[in-house]
Amino acid sequence: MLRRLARDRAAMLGAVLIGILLLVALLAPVLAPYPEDVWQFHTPRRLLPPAPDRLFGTDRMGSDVFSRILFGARITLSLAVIAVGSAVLIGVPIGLVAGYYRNGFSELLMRVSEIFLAVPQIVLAIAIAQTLGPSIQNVILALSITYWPFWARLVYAETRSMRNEVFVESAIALGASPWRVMVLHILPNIASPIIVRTSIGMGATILTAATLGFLGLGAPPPTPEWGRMIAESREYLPEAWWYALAPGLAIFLTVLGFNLLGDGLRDVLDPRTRRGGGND
Amino acid sequence: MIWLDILLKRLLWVVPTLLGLLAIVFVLSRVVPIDPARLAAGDNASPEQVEAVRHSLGFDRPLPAQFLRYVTDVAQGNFGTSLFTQRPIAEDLSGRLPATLELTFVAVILAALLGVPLGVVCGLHRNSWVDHLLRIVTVSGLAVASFWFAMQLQFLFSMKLGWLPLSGRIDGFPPEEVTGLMIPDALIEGDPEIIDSAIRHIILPALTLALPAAATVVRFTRNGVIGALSSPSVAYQTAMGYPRRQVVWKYVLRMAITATVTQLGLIFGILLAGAVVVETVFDWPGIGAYAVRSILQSDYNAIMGFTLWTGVMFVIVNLLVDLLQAAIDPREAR
Amino acid sequence: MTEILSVENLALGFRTEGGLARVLDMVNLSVRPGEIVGLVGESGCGKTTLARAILGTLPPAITRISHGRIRLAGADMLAGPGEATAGAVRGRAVTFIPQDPFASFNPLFRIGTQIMDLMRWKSPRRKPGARTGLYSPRRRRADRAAVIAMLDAVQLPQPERLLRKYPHELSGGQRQRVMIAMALLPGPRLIIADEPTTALDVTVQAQILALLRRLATERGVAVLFTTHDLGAAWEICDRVAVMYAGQTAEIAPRESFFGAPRHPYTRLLLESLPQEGRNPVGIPGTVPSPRAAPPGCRFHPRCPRASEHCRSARPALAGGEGHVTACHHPVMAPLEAVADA
Repeated sequence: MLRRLARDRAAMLGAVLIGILLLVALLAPVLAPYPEDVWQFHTPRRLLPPAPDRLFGTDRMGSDVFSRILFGARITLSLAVIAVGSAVLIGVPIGLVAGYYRNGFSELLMRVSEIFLAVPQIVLAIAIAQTLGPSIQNVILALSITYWPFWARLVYAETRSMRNEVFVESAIALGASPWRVMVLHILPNIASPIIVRTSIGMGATILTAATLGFLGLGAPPPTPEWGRMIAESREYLPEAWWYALAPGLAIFLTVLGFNLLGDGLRDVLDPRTRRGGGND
Repeated sequence: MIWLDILLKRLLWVVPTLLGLLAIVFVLSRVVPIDPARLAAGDNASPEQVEAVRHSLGFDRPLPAQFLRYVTDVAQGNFGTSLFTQRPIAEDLSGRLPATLELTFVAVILAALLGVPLGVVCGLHRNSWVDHLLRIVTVSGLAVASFWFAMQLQFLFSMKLGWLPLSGRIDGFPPEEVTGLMIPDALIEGDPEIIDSAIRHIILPALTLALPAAATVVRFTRNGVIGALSSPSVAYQTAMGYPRRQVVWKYVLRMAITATVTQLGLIFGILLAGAVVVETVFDWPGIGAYAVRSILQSDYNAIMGFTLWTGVMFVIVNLLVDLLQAAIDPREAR
Repeated sequence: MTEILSVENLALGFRTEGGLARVLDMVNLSVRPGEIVGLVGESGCGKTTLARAILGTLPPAITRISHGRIRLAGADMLAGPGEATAGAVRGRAVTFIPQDPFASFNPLFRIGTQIMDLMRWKSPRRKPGARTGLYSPRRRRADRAAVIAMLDAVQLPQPERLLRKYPHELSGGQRQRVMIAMALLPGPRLIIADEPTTALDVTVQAQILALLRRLATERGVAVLFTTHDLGAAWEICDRVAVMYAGQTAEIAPRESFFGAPRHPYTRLLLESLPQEGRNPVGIPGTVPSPRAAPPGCRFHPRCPRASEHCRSARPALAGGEGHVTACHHPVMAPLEAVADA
């Protein structure tokens, strides 16, 4: 299975991009030429164009954009991992329980998840983030509250169809507890779509988080958050064209990485959409 | 009868969903650390004045009572007053809705005109260089942050090349309002300069908005074509020697489009979410920019109004999609 | 007598991730005008692949034809870029009845549209050599009358109303009757029917087979009929060919096929049929994967008569009087009490 994935060049590109992001996030203090620029200003050096010693130029405070981008990877990555992680932790159990039992309660759970899907995620996320006040923690909270229904609905649908499988019915008939059936029999068999959904969900979450930062709802100013950096750069266009370029590309490559990997995983894990011809 | 059936089924779950949505936003609006009464009374209000405002707005009553009152008002078409524009929210929203509709409509057309033919080409020439190239383009289109893409477009086409305006809906005096839609209004008025200005203004925001939607349409259409091509009915027609042209452009295309139509609701969702950001960047006076501004200013009446309107629009679009599907897929019309 | 279809020493495979799957290995088959030939074998023996190879509808990207010829109504179906020739033959000289009448109609178009689109290109009233899709109102009227008459001939009531229906509004048996009508309408010389009754209820199967046999005989159309159901083959075939794991095992006229089969596989196959006074006998072992087919005769691992020779040398089709067998050790004694099955 991994070999199939390794042969998908696009998926490998995605994995490489994510790998680079991980490395950058881990080694930011080592890789950054001016790690202190995340907090320090050098007003005389403000808005300088790219040069060999400052690859992406400097920003309005005279800080090195390249160094800030590297540290921004830490924020983006931890934010996406925690937000998606919590959304999965909320959504998957809800979907499992609602899909396993067929009663009013499971109906109610699904109706609630539908409410969250009745408006664009970004609107709810903005509203929640604004209500809670601008900070990274609140962005994470807003994202997990708005994104859990995606996993809940997916797991719900998959569990529903698993419920009728012979091996599940026989496990129930043999007296396995509902909890045991859900965790040991159903969950492993619906892991593939959850993994695919999670990879693609990471990309969507990073985009939404960047949008929140762009609208000024993320972490407060000195934080090197990519979306906020782009927002700051707006008033310096067209002169400081480099200012927005680097953070925008950083967002793009990160989201691209997760989307490509998700696509590749879907092809490998989900035989229904597998590419390549068949016969007979 | 099938239409009525779909309509009733939808309406049955619409009301509780919208109520739930309102409840969520309502709770949010009341846990907010900012005091709405103080906000409404203004910076220089005395504590007594603030209390008076609080009482007159009903903020001093228990939460369930406040919610009930709000829902009753909404049911009568009264969405309350914006704390900032001081105008009825229904008026604010309906005044701004045409701008969003116009922008979304142009984006939908762009997305369909780009997405469907490209998707068909990819599906027909699966795994060819065109398919691979467009796979990269569509995955990229879905990975770009739309606010950043918008800024790059502004930088290139407005600031550097000076071909297109930076933001807004029109230069100079807008045409007399007939439909509320700028391009039709300009056409009615017939002044070529205004028509030109209206069209120039919509290009960049519509393009930004259409990008992720077009990418989605390409992927759905491509998968639809591939699914149709590998269906037994196409195998049968090929074995019977139906000409390839006819099989592809009549039978396969219809199947692919039917499959794409089922996803229109999702595509509309992408557009509406995009409009929130795109309108903000381009200063487009629609309800998306209005929502962002209301949220940033903690204008909760406006936020709740917007949320409800969006929810209703979602419902209407999904209903239209259902009806459209029943119209083009005979299996649905039982 | 010239043959309408001849398949000579055809060998082809599919490129798969696990290597080349040799699905057909030196297959021979011929159909003469007006006769009904049964192509019998277990699932996965290559029947459907052979039918699709004859029609030229195998996926070109993964199909590799390494040897052999297919001639159909005088046209070489494997002549590479001769798509044009094959395209002219397909739907005209040779037509097709699919296995699955449920999925073989496009669900979004009326039955009438799908039939009339066929007639537009494949009607016998269309001038031979016409290149355009030009459809004169006169020919259209004549074609429509022919369609109505044909639907009547396949015993579908109210043909006019049926043309306005969508596929999902018809039962499986009705759909397969429409498929038979569509196969007959272009006035073909050969119909390839790929397990035409497998997807239907048992009660409908016999009716459809009888209908197919009657209409084909009346019109002098040859039928190549693939099936895994020996009973069905006995019902309607003039000659029967047996395939095992992509190889032709035996070809014989119906009576001698059922009465005196020579190939050990054919005998085991017939003995595995449930019959009065005898317990059905299974054939030990399983059909080999085309990716790892045994050398020589592919049946040797399961064959009670296999010798060292069978393991190395591929037997050629041999015999006389229209009864040929690919076996080094054919059985020459008649089989008891099968002919009245």
